[in-house]
Amino acid sequence: MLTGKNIRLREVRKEDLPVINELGNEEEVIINLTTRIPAPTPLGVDESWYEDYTKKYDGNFVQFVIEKLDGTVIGKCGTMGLDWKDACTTVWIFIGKPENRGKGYGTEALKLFVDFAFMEMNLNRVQLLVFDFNKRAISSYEKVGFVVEGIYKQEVYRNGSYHDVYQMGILRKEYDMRQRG
Amino acid sequence: MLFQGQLVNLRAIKDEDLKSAAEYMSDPEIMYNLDFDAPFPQSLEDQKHWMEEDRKNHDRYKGFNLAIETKDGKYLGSCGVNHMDKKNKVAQVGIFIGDKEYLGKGYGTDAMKLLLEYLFDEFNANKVKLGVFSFNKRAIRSYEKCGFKVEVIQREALYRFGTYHDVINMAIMKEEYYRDRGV
Repeated sequence: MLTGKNIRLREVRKEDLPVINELGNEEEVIINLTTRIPAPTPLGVDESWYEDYTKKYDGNFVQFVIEKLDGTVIGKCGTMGLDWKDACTTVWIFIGKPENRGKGYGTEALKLFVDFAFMEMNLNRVQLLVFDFNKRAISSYEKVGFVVEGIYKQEVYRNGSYHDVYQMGILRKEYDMRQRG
Repeated sequence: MLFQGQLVNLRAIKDEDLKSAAEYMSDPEIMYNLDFDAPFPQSLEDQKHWMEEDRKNHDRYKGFNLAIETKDGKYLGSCGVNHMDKKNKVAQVGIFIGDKEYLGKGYGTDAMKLLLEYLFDEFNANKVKLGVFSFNKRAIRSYEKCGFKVEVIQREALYRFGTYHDVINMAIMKEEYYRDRGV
């Protein structure tokens, strides 16, 4: 269900935290992922997040570590808010090291996640946000079936100027059509 | 003048507003347009509790709510900032007129213009944005009058009346605001 040809999605373990922290603090990850000040996150913040996450865990909140089939942790993906009534979630994903990017791992992970969202979570819509300068991510999301629904103008200040943020989404009916080919 | 419009004034929310607020927010016709959540009746106690929590928020730069009243002091609803992205200078706003007698008569538009003036002139916002449900045509027209433009349509992002509806995201940039105001 959560295993693909090259990678699998699995639960976050306590011993992953230092690795995840390091991957998440790669400059390219920070620049492309957060709208906040692009400063590295202290390990302690990830540790207290993990403590909180496991304490409150009720099976209704999803975060996965992305690992290669040999067990190397390469990134993470998860949901940011799960809206059950409207059957919609916002997803985010990152692959940490440069040597693991551009190999289709992220695309494969997101595809597994979207399968999971529609087949197991009973959602109608999966959406995500991506910065205009992150061209590789946009083309990866398009491969998975996400379409650009619109552009939020000047929402992130980075590298000296404001940049646009793309809203992308995939609906259940579009997913079903893709599955039928 | 700040907070003083043609038809309405903005002011602090008072305890005596809460009874009307509870009535307004128990009206499905009002709430259908306002909240992603399914309409759910609000008690006066709910409103008092909300008010206590709201008063604990002393960081005005995070968000705030202001009452909308007519020139003769009738409480109509409220408007404010739900979320302020400080670094990126983006304010996410919301507004509602709860008394149906006052809908479609320009009161909301007047209040939103005051809110925009406040956010651009005093908070140094670069962008003010909001979300509106696709079936709320009156609100969309009102926002357009204030200078908001449609940016993003999130397809089927709201479930209501037995089916999915689009959520329309509108925004106005600082530059556009001052150009239109002739500053």
